[in-house]
Amino acid sequence: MAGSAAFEAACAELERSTSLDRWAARGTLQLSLMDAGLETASVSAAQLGVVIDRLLPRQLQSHGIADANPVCAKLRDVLATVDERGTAEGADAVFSRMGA
Amino acid sequence: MGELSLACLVLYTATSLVVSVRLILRSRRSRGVPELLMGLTFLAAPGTGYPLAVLAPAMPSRELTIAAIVIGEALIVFGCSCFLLFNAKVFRPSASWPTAAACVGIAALVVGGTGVVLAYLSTPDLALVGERSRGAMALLLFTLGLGYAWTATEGTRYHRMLRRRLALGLAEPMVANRFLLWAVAGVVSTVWNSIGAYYLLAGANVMTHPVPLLATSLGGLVSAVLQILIFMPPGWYARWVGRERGARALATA
Repeated sequence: MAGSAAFEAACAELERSTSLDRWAARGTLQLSLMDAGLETASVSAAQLGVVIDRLLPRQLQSHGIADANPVCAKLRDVLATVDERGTAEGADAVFSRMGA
Repeated sequence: MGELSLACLVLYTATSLVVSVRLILRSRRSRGVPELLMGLTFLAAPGTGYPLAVLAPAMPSRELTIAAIVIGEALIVFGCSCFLLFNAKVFRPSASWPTAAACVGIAALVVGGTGVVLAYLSTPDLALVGERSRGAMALLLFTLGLGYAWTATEGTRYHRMLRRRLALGLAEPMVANRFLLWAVAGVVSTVWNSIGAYYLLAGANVMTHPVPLLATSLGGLVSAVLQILIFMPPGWYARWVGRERGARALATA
């Protein structure tokens, strides 16, 4: 299943910035998203930014990337330029509106 | 028992109508398809379709009975179809299999609804109608039961995900709680519909047998309360959910 624009952009940047191959980069980000209770198809750049700050460094360290800070900074830069039009709306947004 | 069942049905119908109007008005402002689908679900099925179908046999003439059952069943099938599409579009928007599953469910609802109408058209004898529509009614209830089980599963899955998001400040406590209530509503409705389907297939009259009547009454009552808490939560409930979350966060810290 394809990920959101933010997820795909972050995967591509993670692959470029580290020694991880495409699948390892996707898997690493997916694990971090699962820890955060987020889904690849609907995760937004803002949500991914929080995951990169709070959860990804630990995942990167488990993959042997000792200094995660420069990698996370590059990912944040990429996320700032992502065009999120067309990203599927998450069920949480729908439920937030329906009970407001 | 009949009076209790009627009172619960009236409460469920009234709550569904209020919730449906709110959701449809909200969908006009937000242009949100999910709100529209859920609003149409409540308006067409529990708001108007169920009461018409329940009242159809008590109509003063056969023509009115037929008209009530045709309109009632059409509304039920339409409303429940919107409900299945809501599940597919809201919880799995990027996958194609949920839409296919919803379409299979809609086909089953159409077959069931048509079967009930044909049973009414075939004879004026209501006892015979009950016999002839048994399979079609069971198919309707079974399909609905599956739809509600789907709701319960997705509600539980999202509630778990939002609890994780809460720890990162990526979710609101009220929305996380809403998914929990949604899951509970799915479980309650699955049980309620399954009991009805079981007793129908066992040959009982579900309009008079105490077990399905009690299940319908309690199911309607609990569903009405859950609708209020999910779609128009009172201030005290929102404050309670916020306090609970705050207490848990403090305990964790």
